[in-house]
Amino acid sequence: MNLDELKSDWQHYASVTSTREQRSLEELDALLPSKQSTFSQWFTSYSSLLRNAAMYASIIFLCGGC
Amino acid sequence: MIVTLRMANRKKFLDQLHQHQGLIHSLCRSYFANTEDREDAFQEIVLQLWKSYPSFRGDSSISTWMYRVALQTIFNLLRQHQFTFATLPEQPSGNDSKDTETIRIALSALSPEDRALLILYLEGYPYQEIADINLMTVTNVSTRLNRIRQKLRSLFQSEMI
Repeated sequence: MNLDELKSDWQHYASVTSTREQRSLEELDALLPSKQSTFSQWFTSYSSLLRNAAMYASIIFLCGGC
Repeated sequence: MIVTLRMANRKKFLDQLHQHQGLIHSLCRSYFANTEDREDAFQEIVLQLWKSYPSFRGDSSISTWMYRVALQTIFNLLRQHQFTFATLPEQPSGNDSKDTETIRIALSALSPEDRALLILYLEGYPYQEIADINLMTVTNVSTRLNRIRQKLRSLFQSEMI
């Protein structure tokens, strides 16, 4: 068998598949992470870091006498 | 300024993804028989493409890069889920043609790695690009495609008997 004989079959297979499952730009956009800005990402991660640091500091402080 | 650049980058990525999404759909259908697995794989591939988009420098064509990322993602998913390839990929409903059936039989007879080589060959990629995408030597690609050819020849001969 010559593999080239399968090329037209593959083109048909691929075109059937992609036509059937084609997504719109909006559908593709929905698959990406949200459009959160760099600043808000930084702020969210920074404030979460501060919260965690405060929590661990209070645990250490409270258990200091143990 | 940064936000505007990010939005422009996102728009450019989405346009390219929209234009070339067919190759991802074909790959997903060639590897996953189950609709849910295909959906999960498609989403994971899109996510991995988006994550690695900043490192795409245009050294290769966008479709070559997309194939590379998509195949790596598929192989990772297969390793994680330990899928087997005993079953034929599902056939698109309403398209019960002989062409599609021949491809299904051929793909089902091959290992995940050989499947990737055959798909890229059938897409018309030269040996050098197939080697680059699969991180192989050109000699290795040529040898394995010859083995695939022999395997399919004997498969289709036995099918006809």
